Amino acid sequence: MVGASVVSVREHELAEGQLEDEARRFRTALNGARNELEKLRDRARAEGNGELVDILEMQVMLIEDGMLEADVCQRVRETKRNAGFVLKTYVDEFCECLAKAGNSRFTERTSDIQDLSLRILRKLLGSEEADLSELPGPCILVAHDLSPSDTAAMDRTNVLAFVTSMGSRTSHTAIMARALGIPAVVGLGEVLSEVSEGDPLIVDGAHGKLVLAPAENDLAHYRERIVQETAWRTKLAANAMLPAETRDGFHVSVAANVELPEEAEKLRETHHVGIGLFRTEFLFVNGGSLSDEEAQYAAYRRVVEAISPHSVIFRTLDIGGDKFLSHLDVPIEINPFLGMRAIRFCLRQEDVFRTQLRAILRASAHGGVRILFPMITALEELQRTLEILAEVKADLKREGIPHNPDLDVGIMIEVPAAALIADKLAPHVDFFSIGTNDLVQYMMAADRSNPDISYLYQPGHPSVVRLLDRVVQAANEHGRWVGICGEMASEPLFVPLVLGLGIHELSMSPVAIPVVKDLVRDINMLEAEELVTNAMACGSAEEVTGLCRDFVERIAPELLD
Amino acid sequence: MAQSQTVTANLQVQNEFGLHARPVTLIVKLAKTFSSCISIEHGGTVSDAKSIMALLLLAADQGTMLTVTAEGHDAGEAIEAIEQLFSDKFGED
Repeated sequence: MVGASVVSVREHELAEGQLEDEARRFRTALNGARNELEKLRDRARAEGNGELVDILEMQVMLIEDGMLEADVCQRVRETKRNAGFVLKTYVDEFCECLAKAGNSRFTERTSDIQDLSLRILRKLLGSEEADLSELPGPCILVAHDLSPSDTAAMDRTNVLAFVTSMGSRTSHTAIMARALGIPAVVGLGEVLSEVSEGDPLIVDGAHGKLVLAPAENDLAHYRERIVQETAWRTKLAANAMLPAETRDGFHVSVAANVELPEEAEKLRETHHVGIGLFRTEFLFVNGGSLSDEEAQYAAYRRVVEAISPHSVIFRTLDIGGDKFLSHLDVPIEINPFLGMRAIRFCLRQEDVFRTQLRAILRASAHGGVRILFPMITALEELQRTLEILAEVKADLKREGIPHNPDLDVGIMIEVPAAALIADKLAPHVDFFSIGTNDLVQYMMAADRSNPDISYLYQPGHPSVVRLLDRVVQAANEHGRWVGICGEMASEPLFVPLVLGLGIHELSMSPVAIPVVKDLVRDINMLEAEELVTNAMACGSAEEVTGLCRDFVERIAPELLD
Repeated sequence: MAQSQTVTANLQVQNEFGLHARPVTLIVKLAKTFSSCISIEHGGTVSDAKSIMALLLLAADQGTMLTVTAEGHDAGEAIEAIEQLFSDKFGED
């Protein structure tokens, strides 16, 4: 469990110069824990829960009385160990002393002190990455949240499934889970308090369900489900090499969303498709070294060669929002999704951007490479971006470094402002890639990772259908092609709608590819276009998804189980 | 202003469960209302009466005799108030 009722703390040694920082980090964690406790205490008081008020009051006082702070900071300095480890040892010793007193009232209260210690540890671990790269054995990971770097570093061979309090179907945690083919349920709220380390759990990713303390009949039911699902997947895998062609002969290009070079290699063996979205930020997440040109070039080239004869679309660095890189200096914002992210960051930190463009262009000498710019909002941004690209190409030419000067350039359509001026942006690019995850959340003004308002995150909202239609029309008028790389591309419910809109490249997480290809083969394009006409006339997401459900029900009922 | 003085009292823990978290919290809250330095001694361990952790470590059961010492301008009042708290058995029973 991560950030849960059992926190494992590793001991590590600190250098002399780190000790003061560590003490400061501990004090910050104490402050954070105190703020939380005070809020909880005030709430308990308002609810008239006197016993809880007493406990929380004592925990606040334990922090305030200074002994904990002074002792831990002193021990950090003396033993040169990390504050988390020191705190845990200190509190364990303290509780042992109390337990020795042999009075039940004392031992009872040690749990409150351990609880306090956990709260502080969680604060500390917030800034000290939990180590998921070495798990003791096959397990279900339960966490408050998993950052992209957590999932990237995770020991995948041992993670059977994961469950988080935060996030939603389209948050990056969930996307990663699908990419890895790991069952996951996210956005479960207060799940951590319900689960203890070692509890047996059933994670039903298909239905977004977590079964606590499963009974014998639950286990039997799910064992049966696993057998059925395996049989279905085997059938899909057998058909995986068939082209994605509708019943009436329209060819649909299916591609993969990928974030790591290893995935590209796997893709060639299993799916025979290109990469419609390579999220380059994940290369940066795992270590600082990739921010240099040679390392990036090597990674991109590896992808290009692995995926040949298909091509790859590299999306330039998209950080900010819910993706952060500790070694790049991104300021903390109140509203990160509306802040300094993606192309905005790149245009501000031109050196980082130019380095990446050089690396991608150099990789383009080795195979099919296209480049994609995220978060374009205004025409000026696109013009500036293209100027920089032209300058980088000119530099490479002057230096005699091989690259493809005519590589296709596209932009993400994920900001409503850009979607509405698609006709003005189209002449400057070769293609659009619609990022529905962000586009929908920006249109609906609903944070997709907040479980309380996730009901408002509605890809089926008529406004989304209308806007997508408009973007496709604008692209068609200028002879540009349109792809889609959000979750809408892989959500069986919406696939007919997406095809009917005239979007002919669907890029998705590799696990979804066989399912979507199979579905495409059952679709009649004329009917899909009719579906769009009907959807455009709807007034609510419920009506649109109802139409979509009827459609899929008719052609592939097994997908709606 | 009263002169700084040192006042000592021997107090017995009378409540059934000893100085567990709740009584300790009450002592600390009370002690903090005085400017005097207040310490409580038991079996050679001297604890600051304004620190919960330190007081808990005394692990004083029912019947334990403690030496409470206050040093400062309001030492007298402090000892008096703490004596009262002990004899009230911290509002328990």
